[in-house]
Amino acid sequence: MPDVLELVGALPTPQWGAWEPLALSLLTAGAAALILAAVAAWQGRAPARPFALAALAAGVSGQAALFVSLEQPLRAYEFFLHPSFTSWTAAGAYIVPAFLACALLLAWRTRAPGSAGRLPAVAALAAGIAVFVYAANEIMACLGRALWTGPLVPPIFLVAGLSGAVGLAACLAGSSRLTGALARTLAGYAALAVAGCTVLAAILPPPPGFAGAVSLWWRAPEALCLLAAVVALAGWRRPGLGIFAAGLAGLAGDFLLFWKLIQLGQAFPRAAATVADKAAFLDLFTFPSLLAVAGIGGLLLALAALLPRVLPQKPLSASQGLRYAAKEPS
Amino acid sequence: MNQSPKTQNDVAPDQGKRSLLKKGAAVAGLGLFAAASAGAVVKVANGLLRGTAGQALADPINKNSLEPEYRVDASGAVAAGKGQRVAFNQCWGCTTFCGVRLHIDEATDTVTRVAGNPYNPLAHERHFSMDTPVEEALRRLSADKDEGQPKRSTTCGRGAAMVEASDSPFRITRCLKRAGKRGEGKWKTISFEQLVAEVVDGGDLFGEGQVDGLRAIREAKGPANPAMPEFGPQANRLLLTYAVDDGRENFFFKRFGQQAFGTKNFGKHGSYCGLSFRIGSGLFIDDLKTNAHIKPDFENCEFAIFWGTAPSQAGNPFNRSGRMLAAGRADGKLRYAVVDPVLRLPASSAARDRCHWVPILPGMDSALAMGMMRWIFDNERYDKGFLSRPTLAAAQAAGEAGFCNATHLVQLSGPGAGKLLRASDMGLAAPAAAKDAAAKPGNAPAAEDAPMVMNLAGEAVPAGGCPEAALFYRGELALPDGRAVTVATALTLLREEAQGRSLEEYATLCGVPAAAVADLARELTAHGKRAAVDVHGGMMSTSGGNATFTVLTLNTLIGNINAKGGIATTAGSFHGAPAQKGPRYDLDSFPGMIEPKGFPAIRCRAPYQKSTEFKQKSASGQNPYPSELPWYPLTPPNMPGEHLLSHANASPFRYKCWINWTGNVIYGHGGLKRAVDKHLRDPKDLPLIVGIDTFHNETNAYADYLVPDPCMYEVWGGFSSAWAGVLTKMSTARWPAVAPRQEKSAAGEPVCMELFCIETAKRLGLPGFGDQAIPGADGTLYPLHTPQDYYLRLAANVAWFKGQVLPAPSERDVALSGIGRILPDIERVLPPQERGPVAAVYSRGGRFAPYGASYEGEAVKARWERPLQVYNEEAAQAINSQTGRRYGGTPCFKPPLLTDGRGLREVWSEGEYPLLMTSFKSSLINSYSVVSERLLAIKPVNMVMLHRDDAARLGLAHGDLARVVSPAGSAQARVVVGDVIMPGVVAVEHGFGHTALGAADVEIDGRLIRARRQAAAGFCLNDLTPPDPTRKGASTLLEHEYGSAARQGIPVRVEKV
Repeated sequence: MPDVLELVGALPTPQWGAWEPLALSLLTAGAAALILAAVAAWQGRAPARPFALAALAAGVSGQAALFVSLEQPLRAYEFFLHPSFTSWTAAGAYIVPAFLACALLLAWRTRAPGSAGRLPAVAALAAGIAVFVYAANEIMACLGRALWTGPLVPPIFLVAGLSGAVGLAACLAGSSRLTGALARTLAGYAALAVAGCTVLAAILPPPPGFAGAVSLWWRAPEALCLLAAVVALAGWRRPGLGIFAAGLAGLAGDFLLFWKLIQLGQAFPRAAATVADKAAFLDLFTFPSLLAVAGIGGLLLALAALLPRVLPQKPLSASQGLRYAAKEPS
Repeated sequence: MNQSPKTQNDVAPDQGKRSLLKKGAAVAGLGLFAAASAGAVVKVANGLLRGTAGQALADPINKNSLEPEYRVDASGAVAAGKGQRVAFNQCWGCTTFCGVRLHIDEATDTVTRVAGNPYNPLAHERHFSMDTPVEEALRRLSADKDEGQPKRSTTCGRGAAMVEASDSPFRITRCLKRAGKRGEGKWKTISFEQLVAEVVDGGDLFGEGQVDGLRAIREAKGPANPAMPEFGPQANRLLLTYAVDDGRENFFFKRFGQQAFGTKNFGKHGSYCGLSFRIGSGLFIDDLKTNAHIKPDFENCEFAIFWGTAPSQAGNPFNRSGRMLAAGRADGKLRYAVVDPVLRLPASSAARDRCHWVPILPGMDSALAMGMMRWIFDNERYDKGFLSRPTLAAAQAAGEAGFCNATHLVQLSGPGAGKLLRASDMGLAAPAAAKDAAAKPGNAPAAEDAPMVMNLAGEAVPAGGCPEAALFYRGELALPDGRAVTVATALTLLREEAQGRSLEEYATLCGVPAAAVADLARELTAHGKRAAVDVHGGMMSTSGGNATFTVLTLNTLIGNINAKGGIATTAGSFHGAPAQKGPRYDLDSFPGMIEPKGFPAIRCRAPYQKSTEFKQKSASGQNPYPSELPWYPLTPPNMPGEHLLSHANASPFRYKCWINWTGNVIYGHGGLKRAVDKHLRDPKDLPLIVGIDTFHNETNAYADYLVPDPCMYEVWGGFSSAWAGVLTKMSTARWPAVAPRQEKSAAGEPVCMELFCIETAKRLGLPGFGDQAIPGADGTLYPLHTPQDYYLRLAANVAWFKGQVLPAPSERDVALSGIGRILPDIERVLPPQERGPVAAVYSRGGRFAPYGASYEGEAVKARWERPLQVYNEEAAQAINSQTGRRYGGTPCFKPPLLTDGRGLREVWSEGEYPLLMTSFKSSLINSYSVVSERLLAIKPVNMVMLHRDDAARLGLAHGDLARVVSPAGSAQARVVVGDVIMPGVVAVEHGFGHTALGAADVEIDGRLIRARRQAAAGFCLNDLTPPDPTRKGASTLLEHEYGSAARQGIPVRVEKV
């Protein structure tokens, strides 16, 4: 008996759009960054600042992508007008704003190194974890999408988020002359994380019954991830552009892993066996998708430029400078 | 951190540059984001201007979802939803006509949701008893006491979605008259009264010259064709065609067309749907009059072979079969095989190891069946106990539930060759007890004359006196006049036929490995009588009639007729023949009723040997064979495709008027449009065409006048039953649960087919319509001015069926079943004593015998009592008008043939057309459901399937654009590639490729209704059906012996585009 039974037919190329993968990649990156910022802030370590800024920038961008992807964006207010906790979507309506508030608080409190305070750190830690739980469950609740319910989904969210977080933090740290060594360290972690994204994308299996139906395009996201990992590994030790390249590679790994999960996950239809993996992958290079990526990239860039100005870092006192120098990774 | 101090001059330019860069980056980034998210801004603006969902929200949590049709409180009490009502009615999504439960919004008087009627066995495996109060039925369907899930009653996806068809812009709601050339799609509205007047009286209706109206056609003197008077009078030049037996057909063709107007010529869609299968069933079951057919007893069956049919994919009854198949494999012992060139839904992973698929070459089904028979005979796995009982009485005495004619002796020599040897042939009087048991009802000579059999002592005796007869015998018998006649038992002939080829030869012919053939035969014969072979419409090859007969004969060999877990026919209905006659009203006849005269124009069930052509050829010494056009001695005379071909060939004559009610033969019949298009476009060729329909379809696009017909649940209608597969009597009612949307006549009645017939008949002065039309049991003649005058009286007969009068419904029943809107009609038409029982019928959506009436011991209660035909004598006596040879009474292997008996492959070689095209039905889209945007959203285009080996050879990948080329034309499609189809076969899903039903512009009174591109998606394989090159004149590919449409096994090639 064949595994694949066609129900619908060879359909025209589907159009999915890039906003949902962008939203998930940035929200998870923000959540991971906030968790790392909270840990660092608890310990009074230097990475708290770039991670807090990364959390805020990624969170705002992710929320924006989520908002843009909605058919009726204004409907979001109804979650607050008529509170409901019956679905993960409803829960997300409260979790994401809480997460943004925590990120803002931590970014504010880390203007001066070492002064974040433990309560904001604990709140930020909880908010970051909540975003991970919400985002992963929002996807896993879609039982009709076989790829979204497997055991690899939670690790994918975690590794993708870490990759985006350290990548964005590396970029932010790299833009500051004061944190060159930290930036290099973050870039190194970004290289490791994007390598992790590559591995996860590669081992993510097609749903049962579709294994024989997928083409080489199923492997395209990990191929690009691998390329990003190579760039990151080549660049992380090099100051300036090298660090930026590694940081961007981390963000790319985050996004590409979600592209595989979300976009190629939809290539396995619920009522047919037409595996549109090629169309799903190549949707990345359509004008609307490229515009969405460019738009969110632009928003991230703007936030990276504006946030340090809106939330400027306070000058170090002599004692703080000594402590900070002692704890900074080499 | 050791940084060297910088001077102000060093730092300032760098910081300034960085600052500028950052500002620039921020502005550019925000600009990019603004450009990318502009669409969201538009959505937000729309939301602000039009509300967040485009309309005001009814409820903060449930938004604008439907108000429930009813609610059940904690005590189990049922209350109708606010502004909602429920009604039990008849589905319109396919020809199964399931029972449905409608959810109606009273404010808009529209049906908002459709589910199953739990009283109706077509929507429920164990349907609720009629005496269950409606309130209790609704409660059981709710979540109360968790009964809703196990007791749920469903309709299929198509039935649920088709409700939106009533709002289609391509619905006909006004009387229309052609405003341009035929087929241009330009119309103008006219009044119903004007339409009737013009159709009846004729005249220069279109400025194109005189057109004879119905009056002139009917009153014209002399034969329709003086050169062939056997084809009857001028009245036969009216052709009536319709779609299906939905409960209204008797009114249209029988009462109006035949009994009142008197035309012999009518057609229905069966001939381009499943007629080959139905005739094959008739051959198998000894019923070539109605061509009854069988279905498995799903509930108790242990092994079934679904052959050219696929329960849960298509077939009939679609909804019930799908449910019972799922239940049988999940909860029962049912295992099954699907024999089909294409793998479909019954073989999904949900079936696990309960199902296997046997791919087969199209049109080669009889080879597989004969191969299985060969194995069964070789291994003596047939049911000797069943086959050896020569009469029903003998079978019943032996504990069998039915019988067959396997032991009956067939004459093979002498003047009686081909006939059964009868007692009269031997000079014996048949024992009286045997006469009725062994004879064929309705066949006068046989009723007086029992067949002969060989008893176990080797003596030829009348069947009636023989409890058990020899299965195999071939030899000579002496007749009373001294002549010797060679005879053989029917089973001997079948065994010889089966053993004419080896198993391997059969396997090669059908493409099924010999081991698989043997396995299938072994499995079929391993379950006693709890096994079944089920066939349906997939037998549409050019030899499909014989293929069906042959395949179904496998049932005979295992003796499963009427057996629990075996096969059964329908249990019948409450509205069939007896209810047409009474007991309250006689709807079957009326004063002044006439009988149509002459042969049908399509030469069906008429002897060629009595035709002018035959006589003239014989008289002039010519060989009368072949006839100019084929005659179909065993086929019911209702094939609209052949009607139009005969018209195109002007043989025996051209019609003067064609009234087509809802049929779409031009779309549904392979190759017909190409063959008759120019004739239909020319008003001088066929002067008057009237379409009565709900939508603008491909066939009524040729019409001169269009009469609107109600849609879905707006219709007064009669009753429909199960085709087969339901073991209890049932009649599903059709009644207007919501108000019709089409225009009304001057008298205020909604225009519909019935009103057209009534007013046309009244204007013509035909009997059976008007003031004194319907004879009542009290001798009074009741009026027939509206559809309800007829159908409510039929409902009274149903409610009074065999004196078992239904009790009147309670007030709660009436309130909860939505019949309030027809109570005024019931009160107007019927006397007080009939109102309650008739209301009871509609309150349950029909009349249904209880589920418990299904079985009697190890047999079904409703039994088929005629002999299964191992040898069909009627077929064996029929002569093929093209070859002059007899049809043959024994099932046999027969490849797809053309009209003159040549094989398809002799005309279209494998070199030129290496593949065979076959069709399969969509589970959602049928021939008219493209009017549903909802269904097209799920299934926007048809599948064209190709095996991966063929695809690789052709350089095609899944989803590639390919061209399918047949001898008649070509079409392009994206191919679905996989190992889900027999190699060498292209399968095309039927129902797509429309040129009407929304796929073409329609202009009414100068207002253009633009076509919807989606409705034209895909292609229709009928467009690729070639003409039959062995037949004279206009032609298309047909079943070569029975004339029904052929859609399977058409030679094609596929090219990469």
